[in-house]
Amino acid sequence: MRILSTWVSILSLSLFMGACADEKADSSSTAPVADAGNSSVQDAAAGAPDTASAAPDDVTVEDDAGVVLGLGPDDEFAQMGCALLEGEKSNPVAGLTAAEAGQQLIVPSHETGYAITLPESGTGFVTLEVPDWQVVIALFTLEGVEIILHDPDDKAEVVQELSYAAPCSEQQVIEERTKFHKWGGFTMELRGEPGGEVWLAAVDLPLD
Amino acid sequence: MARGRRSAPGLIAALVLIGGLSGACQGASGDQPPDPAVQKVELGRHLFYERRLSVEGNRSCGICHEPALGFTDGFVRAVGSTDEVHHRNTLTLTNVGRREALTWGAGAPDSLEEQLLIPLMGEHPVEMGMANQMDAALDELRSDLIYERLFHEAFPESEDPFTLERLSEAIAAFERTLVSQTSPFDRYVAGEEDALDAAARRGLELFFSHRLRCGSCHAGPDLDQPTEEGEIVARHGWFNIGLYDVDGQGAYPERDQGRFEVTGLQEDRGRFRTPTLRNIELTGPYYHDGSGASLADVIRNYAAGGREVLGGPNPGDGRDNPHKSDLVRGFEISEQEAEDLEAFLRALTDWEMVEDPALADPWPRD
Repeated sequence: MRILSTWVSILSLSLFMGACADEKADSSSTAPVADAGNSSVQDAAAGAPDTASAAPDDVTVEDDAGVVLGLGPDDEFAQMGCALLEGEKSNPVAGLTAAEAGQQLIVPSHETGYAITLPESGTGFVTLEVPDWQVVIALFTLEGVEIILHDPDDKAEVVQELSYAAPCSEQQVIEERTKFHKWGGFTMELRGEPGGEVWLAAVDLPLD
Repeated sequence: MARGRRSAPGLIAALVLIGGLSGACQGASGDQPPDPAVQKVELGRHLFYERRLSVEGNRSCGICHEPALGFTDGFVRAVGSTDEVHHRNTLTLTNVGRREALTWGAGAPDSLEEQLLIPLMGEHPVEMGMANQMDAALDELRSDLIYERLFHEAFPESEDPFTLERLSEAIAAFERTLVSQTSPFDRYVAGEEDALDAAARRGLELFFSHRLRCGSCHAGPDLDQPTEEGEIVARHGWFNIGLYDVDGQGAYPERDQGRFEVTGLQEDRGRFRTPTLRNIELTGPYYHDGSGASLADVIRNYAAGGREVLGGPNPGDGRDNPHKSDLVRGFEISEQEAEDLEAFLRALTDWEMVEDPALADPWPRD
């Protein structure tokens, strides 16, 4: 996951995934495909790059830029994100272009996870509707998916770098936490397997 | 457009606008109130930005109609106090006091006093969520020294002014002061030729040109009403602009069919109110459902004669929507012209208004 602002790219999962691609020849830059509601995170993860087949407590995976993917916080929000990816999901369809992002809203939730269908191009666009000012939102997905948050007005900053989600790290679930200084709609670009699904949970943390 | 010289369409449009604006100004100046009325506006301003008027303490009228965003909220579709997502994009309150229809589809009250009760107390969807909380909220305001003074100064004749009726009266009085009439465009129309730069002047000419005909729907003092040739007084309008054609028969996405939901008439499918273009630079995203990301996208869609949706949940070719207005025909426009048109639209931003301290949040924030 990464945030694209006008001037700064805060975090680049794509770099990290590039490293994975070098290590794993198959489906490296694609999202695991799963039938929402019928399969599990484990099933989906079986199709994911096997970069963390061991429990990643001591993850030392690095990309060319030396980024190390560590283990995220083991708190109730991580548990929530893992549970949402494990459970039954809503099935939105991503737009084909950034101009179509506003037709599909993703709303942070403690109750709903998403299995978002991508276009055949493998790149889709949705809007993350951020409901409050100064709210931190944890985004969870499966390793192999690239999520780019477009933030042209610099209204967001990463507060917890990309990491494995501690409670479900063995299923290659990754998470990143971003603080949004203002509410509103943020375009999210999703890259995964063409025509496949991107699993996503967006969990908002309590306001300070 | 050369400086000091107006083309015929531009001149006609300017005349229409001057007429409308001067009428509006007379209306505003005619409202110059005695002291209780002034205090009613001030009370309304405090209430407009009062977060205690939302069930979770996280919304107010002014939070969802923020001055810096042209009195909108920046959401694609509004999100209420309990995080429930509204089915429509938030309309600007700029010049709302002189608006005939107050929502995208109408069928709602046409007075500000009545309309504001919908976001305040409505339950489908929950916006501010005060349906069962108003008595308690009024009691809380009654015990607040600031409100104790403001309510009594605004309603000196009332023994107990802490009522829902008085509250809505005060908020509406404040909303009627959200007047934009000092944008660069207004100053240009008033004769200040340097108020628009060359690009904006070219954009103005394009806007009212026979090729683009934007002014066919976006005319009048607030650029929100259609006029026909020879017609000076603008009338109210609802249009299907070809954003969707989900089923090949003219359907819009299930959640919102526009005026059809009010009238039941097939030809009203996908018809929505023509919004004002004042402060349009600040009020994105656009359209009734916020599905237009940028002004450039909007211009592109009009140039194409509607919007072809290729992906997402509602694919279809809005250009072929059988209910689409005949006025949305598409047009040729160069890149430079599109930029000029955008420059004109940005000249509708009234910074004096959106930064006016008299319209700002009076409450200290963290």
